[in-house]
Amino acid sequence: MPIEVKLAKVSPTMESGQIVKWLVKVGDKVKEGDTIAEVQTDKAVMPMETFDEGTVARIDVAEGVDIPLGARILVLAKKGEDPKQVAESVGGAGAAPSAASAPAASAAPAAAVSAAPVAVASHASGRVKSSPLARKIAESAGVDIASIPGSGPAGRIVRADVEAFVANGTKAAPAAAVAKTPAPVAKAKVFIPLGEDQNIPLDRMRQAIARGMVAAKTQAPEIHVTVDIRMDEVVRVRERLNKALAAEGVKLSVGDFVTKAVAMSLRRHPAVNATFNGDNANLAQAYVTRHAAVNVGIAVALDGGLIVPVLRNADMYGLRDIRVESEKLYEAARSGRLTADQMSGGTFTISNLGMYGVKQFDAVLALPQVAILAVASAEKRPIVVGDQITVGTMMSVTLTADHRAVDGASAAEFLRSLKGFLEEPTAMLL
Amino acid sequence: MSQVQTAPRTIVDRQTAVKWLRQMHLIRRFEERAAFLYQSQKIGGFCHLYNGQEACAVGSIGMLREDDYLITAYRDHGHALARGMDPKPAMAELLGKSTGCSTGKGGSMHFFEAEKNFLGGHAIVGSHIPLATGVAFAAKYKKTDSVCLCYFGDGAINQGSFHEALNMAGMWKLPAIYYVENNLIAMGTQLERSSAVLDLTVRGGDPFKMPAYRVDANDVEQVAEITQLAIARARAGEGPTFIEAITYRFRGHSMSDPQKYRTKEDLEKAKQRDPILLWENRLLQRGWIDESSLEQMRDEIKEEVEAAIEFAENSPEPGPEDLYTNITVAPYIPQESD
Amino acid sequence: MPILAYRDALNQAMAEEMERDDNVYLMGEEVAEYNGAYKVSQGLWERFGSRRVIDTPISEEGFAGIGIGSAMVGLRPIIEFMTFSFSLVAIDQILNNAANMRYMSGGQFSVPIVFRGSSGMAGCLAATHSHRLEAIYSHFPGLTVVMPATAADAKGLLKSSIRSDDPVIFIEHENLYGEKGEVPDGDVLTPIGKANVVREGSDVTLLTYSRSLINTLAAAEQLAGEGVSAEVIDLRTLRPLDLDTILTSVVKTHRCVIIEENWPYCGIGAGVADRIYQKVFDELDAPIRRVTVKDAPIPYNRNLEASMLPTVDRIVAKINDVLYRNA
Repeated sequence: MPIEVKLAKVSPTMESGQIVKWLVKVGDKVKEGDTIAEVQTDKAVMPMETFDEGTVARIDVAEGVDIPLGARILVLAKKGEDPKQVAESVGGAGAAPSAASAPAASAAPAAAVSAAPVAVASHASGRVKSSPLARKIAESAGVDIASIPGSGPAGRIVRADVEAFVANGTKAAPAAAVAKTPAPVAKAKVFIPLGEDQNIPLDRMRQAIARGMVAAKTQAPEIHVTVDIRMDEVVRVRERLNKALAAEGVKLSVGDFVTKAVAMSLRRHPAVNATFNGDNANLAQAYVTRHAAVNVGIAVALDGGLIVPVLRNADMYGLRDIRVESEKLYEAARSGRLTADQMSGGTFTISNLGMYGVKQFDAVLALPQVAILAVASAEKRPIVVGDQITVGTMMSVTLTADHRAVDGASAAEFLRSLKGFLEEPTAMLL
Repeated sequence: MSQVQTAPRTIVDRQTAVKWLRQMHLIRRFEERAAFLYQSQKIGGFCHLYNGQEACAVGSIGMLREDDYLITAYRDHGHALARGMDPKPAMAELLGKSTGCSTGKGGSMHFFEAEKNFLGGHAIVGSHIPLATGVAFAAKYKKTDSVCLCYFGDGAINQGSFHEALNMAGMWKLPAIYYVENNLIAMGTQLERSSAVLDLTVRGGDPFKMPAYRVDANDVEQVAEITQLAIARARAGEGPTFIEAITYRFRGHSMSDPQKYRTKEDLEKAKQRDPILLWENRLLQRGWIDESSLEQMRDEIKEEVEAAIEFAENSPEPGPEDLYTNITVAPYIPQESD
Repeated sequence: MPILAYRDALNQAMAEEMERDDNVYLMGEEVAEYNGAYKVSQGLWERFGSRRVIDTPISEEGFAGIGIGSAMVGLRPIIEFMTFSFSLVAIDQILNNAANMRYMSGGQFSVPIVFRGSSGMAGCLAATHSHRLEAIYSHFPGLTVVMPATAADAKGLLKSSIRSDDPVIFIEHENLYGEKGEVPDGDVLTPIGKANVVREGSDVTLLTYSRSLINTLAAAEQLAGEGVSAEVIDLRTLRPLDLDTILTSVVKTHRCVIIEENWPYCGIGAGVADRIYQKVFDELDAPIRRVTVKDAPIPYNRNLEASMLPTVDRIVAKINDVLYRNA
């Protein structure tokens, strides 16, 4: 009796797979443990080993064709059996390889592929099987549907698949990408994941964030301008002021200085304290509003999302009041008690990841605002002062600006003001 | 129970008699022009002409009151005009115009005029006979003495609906008058090939316990007389009457009929008994009209029909929005996919 | 609220409407002296007399036409078919005359008539007496098609149908006649053209009507135990369809199963599914599935007949299909 080799479950969640590459051809002798093919699963390209010994008599499926788990992919003639006879006697049951990619052996007619009972699914023919809803969600999340593994019948991609994919943040489309450049695999370790994959539906906040981010990335051409700011003076001034304020129980943060400096810089550069109003399809009717008030939104991270309370007329506050008012807003944000008023009307946004030790990052615009500032950590770095290398407390900030309204030079001018205020904080008193 | 009327008696005054002649001429002229318009492709679909049968509609409908009802089959132009329908909306309907008597949605076979209690032309053979019975039922239910006059051809009495309806009408003594206009040919099938008995009064009378009469429908006065009798019976609550009106249509069943079922000689012979000629001669004999007034009447009718054609041709077509109007009384929701 | 059987709710609706309007009358086979083949008209003849409750000979085409003719001149007939299977004998009257009259006459004649009677696969009645003709009637512009599932709607919809100025095909279910339910007293009308969300849910929309509502609710209950939240909608009116209610639900659940005691091909579900696909294709996470009667004539044999019906198991299986729970 010849041995039928079936598509093995090389990934815990796979329901179908694709032979990315056959590593054997008809007539090859194989033994237990030999890798016979590379299999594209829903996760990655995995080696598939044989557990039997024999001569390859027939290969049933072509490379690149989706096949369900358990489908016969290859037939081995056992010792003493004639591979040719075996191939003839077992023919038909499996899918014949298409002529184009059929490895060496008996080139079955291409028509046999479609007539074969193997479920040719999703990505195989270039057509992606997906539910209409899945496509809609993928499109609005900006995800290429073809890169998502499907869990529905015949590999259909359904809503849960897209949501899981988006939630896991694996936007880089690993499946499809990997398919094109199979990873070099020798002996695979089998990792068994702890627990099961979880699909987290988007709650309202998540949906709002997603909508906003997609809008920004699809509607506004961004530019990014980064400057490094020496923060030693801020550190010193902060220490002194905090001693003075200790009695009141108020403690200024570096962030408060940034807020103050940003507000004052915005006052000087109204082009950045602006919103873009209008539609790309009808720019003749579009306009930019330069706002009279400086209302600075400060992104606050929450469990499962973030929210942006707005400190209105931030340029009119002193550092102490910035601290006190910000704290009120943060507290309201964390306890979900922000009023609509406290969440609207922002003319500029600050996103501060300083506390996480990040070196530099880009923020995505909060439309219709034309600019957002990404604030990284203040950290000690070797710097050049004059011709000397010394140690300074440095902080990188990156302004993301909507190039429809703001040019690179304007962005740079704003940052120069900001840098000036922070490197010489007493200038803010002027 | 069946009777054959022979001698004509004077039963209407001069004014009515002349009016009837005028109506018969109007119907004839209207339909001749309709035939021309059909051949000019201005009238589509089916067009069944009444030429030769005019006396039947005019003599019977002429006896109705305003609050009586009538309903007929698809050969309905004559009945509509005899009931006093203005030829303008009639012609406009033939041309499918929005000013037509059914707003261009009915066509030749489906003339209606609610104001005159004309409940339509109906195109499924025999299908309207139960409707007529229902109208008579309503008249009795509402305790009025209105009657309902119902016309159909000799082909229709072979339908089940005829027997079902007449049975209930006879049983319930409904004020209905059933007129079979026996033109001897059901489309192309002669009577002897469609009915086991040739005397239709046998089929329409006794089985349903109603009197049945046969009348020479080329004679408008005979038709009127027998109708008068039936109406009186109905109003008195004595029930329905069945009348077989022997007539002859001069044209084919419809405009596309080669008329292979009869010879030219048959037709010529029948035309010698043209009901309009017969009535004209009788009125001339009685001195109720003269040649010159006849000439004037014909001219007026020609003008009237030409004016109807002009009206019809100048009338607007229904708009695309009219497709969905008058389907239901409640707001209509098309069950469409997009 | 009083508890009434579906049959008695229908009776009450007719009695109240006949009391209210002298133009309303009931006509059909055995409706008067016999009190109705299914006793729906029990007591009406005694109460209203032979003028208004009228027995007919077995002449469906004839009395259907009489009803239509009388409606054209102002009466409001209720024409009872002993079963809707017999309406096939009268179908020319219903489709050619009742449905078309208003249109053909350019709006001059309307036909305020109700054709009502039992229907459905009531058990061992075999092929000729088990017809469900709602799909045929719903096909025709000009007709309104109503199929109540509960006693309350039997009364409320029949009252609305009698007051409708258009021809209404009012199809009852023989097996529902004894079903009891709360029925509001007096003049409470169920609007025509409004579906009823009988059970709210979030995972899948179940559309059904008439008797199938019972099994559909049972299936929803069974799946609730497995954590599936099914929304059940009783369509009530099949033409005009309450598309708004349907779409609102499907947009919420993204999945839909249609359950009907009807054959699959060109059935109600086929038409409803098409309308959903056209309107909210992008909201669907799975193809719409339908549970119908199996595609064969209705056999006499009890077990064979039962095997054709939309059972709870068959409904549950299709729900699992659209939820991808069967894989």
